[in-house]
Amino acid sequence: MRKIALLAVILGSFTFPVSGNTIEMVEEENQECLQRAWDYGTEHGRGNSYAEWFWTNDYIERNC
Amino acid sequence: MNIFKFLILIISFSSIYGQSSGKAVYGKKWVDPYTETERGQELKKTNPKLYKEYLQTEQEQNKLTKQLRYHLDFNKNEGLFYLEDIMSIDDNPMIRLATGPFQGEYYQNNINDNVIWQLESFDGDYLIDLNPVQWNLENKQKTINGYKCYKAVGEEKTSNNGNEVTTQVVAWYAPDIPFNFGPIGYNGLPGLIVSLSTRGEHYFLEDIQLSKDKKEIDEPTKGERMTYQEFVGMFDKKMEKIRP
Repeated sequence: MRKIALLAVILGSFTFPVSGNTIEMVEEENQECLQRAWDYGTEHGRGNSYAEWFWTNDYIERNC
Repeated sequence: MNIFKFLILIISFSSIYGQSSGKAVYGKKWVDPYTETERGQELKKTNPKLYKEYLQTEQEQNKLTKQLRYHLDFNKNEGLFYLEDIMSIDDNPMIRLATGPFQGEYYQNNINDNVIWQLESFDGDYLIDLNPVQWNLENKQKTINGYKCYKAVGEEKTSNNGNEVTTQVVAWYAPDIPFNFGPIGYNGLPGLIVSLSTRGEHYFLEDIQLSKDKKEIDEPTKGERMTYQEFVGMFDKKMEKIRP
């Protein structure tokens, strides 16, 4: 959860300083990673919301 | 039956039934990996790169899981199931892949008829009261580690965002080991659970030592106390918040 919150803060701060393709790409990449994390977590959680949250968070820690 | 056979029978009976505590060691394997499911095979066709990533993760998970050893300490009335501390794996940031979500300590008390799961999670410590499983005892039997075991199947119902989810638990228990405990909080069978499969995890007995000594089992006390339904409901909300 800390990582998710951190990512949200990072994404928020990255949209602030400059506008440009690089920033948009970073944000898009992170959004894609969060989407992959969500997919991974919900697939591996086997219908248990705690397990879904655990695997989503774990994926973010390892990959995003 | 001659007197010699009768004496052996009495000695072996008293050697097991005279015990008042014990320590069992379990290993764990992951079963039904996602990449082998229908959806995993579909992913292989639609997104081979992601499928390969998932497959590599599963391989790493299996490798790490082989290093894990779980302990079940028990006396006549209480049991505590926990993961053995291993320095080499504690330092590995990938270790959560092996432990999985259902890590922590499981305390079982036959007198109060309660099971408490102590979990140290990413965002806090919890003491979760687990619901007893209603077992259906079957006649199927097989020998595991030299013990004659019988099959029991249970079902657990939880909710996920308001939808009821049923999870099956399959256990093999040994009536010759008269302690009704088992891995990850499962208990209530007429003998120790020597093999247990649920939620993609399979626990199997590797070693057991029984003793006539009394053993103290400490109930975990650290964490916020709640029911399993409250715990799962909390993560329903957390998942909603991070939904992309």
